[in-house]
Amino acid sequence: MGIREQLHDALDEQGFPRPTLLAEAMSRLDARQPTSKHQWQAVVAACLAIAVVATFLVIRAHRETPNPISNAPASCPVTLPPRPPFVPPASYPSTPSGGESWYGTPALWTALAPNGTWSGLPYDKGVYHQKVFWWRDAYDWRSESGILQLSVSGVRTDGPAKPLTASTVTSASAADIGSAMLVGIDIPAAGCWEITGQYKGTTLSFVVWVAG
Amino acid sequence: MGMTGESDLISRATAGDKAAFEALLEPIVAPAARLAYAMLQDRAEAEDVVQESAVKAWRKLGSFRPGADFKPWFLAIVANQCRMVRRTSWWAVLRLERTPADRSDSETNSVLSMDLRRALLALPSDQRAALALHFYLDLPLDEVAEVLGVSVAGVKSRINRALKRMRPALMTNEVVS
Repeated sequence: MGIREQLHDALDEQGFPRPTLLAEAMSRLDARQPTSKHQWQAVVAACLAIAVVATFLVIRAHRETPNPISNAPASCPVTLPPRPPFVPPASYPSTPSGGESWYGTPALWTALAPNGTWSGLPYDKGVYHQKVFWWRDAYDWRSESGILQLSVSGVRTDGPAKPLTASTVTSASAADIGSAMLVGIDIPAAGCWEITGQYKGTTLSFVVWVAG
Repeated sequence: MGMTGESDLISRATAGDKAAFEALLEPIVAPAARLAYAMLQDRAEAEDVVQESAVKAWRKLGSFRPGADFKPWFLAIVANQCRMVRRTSWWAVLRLERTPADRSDSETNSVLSMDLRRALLALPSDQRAALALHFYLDLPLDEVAEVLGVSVAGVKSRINRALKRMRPALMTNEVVS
């Protein structure tokens, strides 16, 4: 069997893409007409100017602020990256990607959003979806049989909300972060949430502002 | 769709005719979704990417080069959008593995496909895109080159490097020459 057939076998999925995909894409188009070339040039120039100013402001803010600034309201005590930062065992990168920060202990740690805020989350059928990764030293998805022992829960601390629901624990692996445990969570409302992971007697909690 | 018909649709779409734009997209939505799925291996993410790419294409139609082919232009937007998603989302970067207890018999029978998908995900995005475009979307090498913005020789090189890296997961060895 050639590579072409093998790829089709591996990747073809029934019902994909959904027949409504084009209609959904069309419904997202804005009313304005496509931008012309010279309009683009103006947009690019404006973006460059904004980028220069933003870079200047970010550098200045970085110099003045030892900790990341949270977008959360004062009533939400979001968990910010610890100082000094938690450094995981040597087999893991000393810092995670994407501006996040490690948080926890070698027995159980996770990655915090840079400003304690989850924003731009996918929203569907009344819930926000997020994926939370958890690590523990020497965790190996190929040999570990007890990953289902990780449980994740969450409570909203600044108002009423239905309970947060967590998916079945799965494993994730990539060369740059090693093996991790992954839980998808459905958050029923924006607001201040305390997320807790429990694994074999170790508990780790953090507070995050869900901006939606 | 003939080039004349396509040119007409592009002109109308550029002038703001959404029906014309929809007609342009209709034949390439499925290939675009398949490309995105090959890049991301997440159905929801792949469909999101296609929708986002459609929005971007609509906004960028003014910069579309007259006489060019719409399909590679749109697929290039999709490929770029996939790269962006992979940069910004760990979800897309990671190969997810369920526990053995979660796997059904049919999944167990698909070990070869899983190995292939895993091997595909481990490739650098330029190699994965080249492989998917040529072998999965059946695009000729010159169109793959147009989508990726590289020469045909560059495409061949990417594909052959990808095939070499994926060899343990493949049942056959192939070389593009």
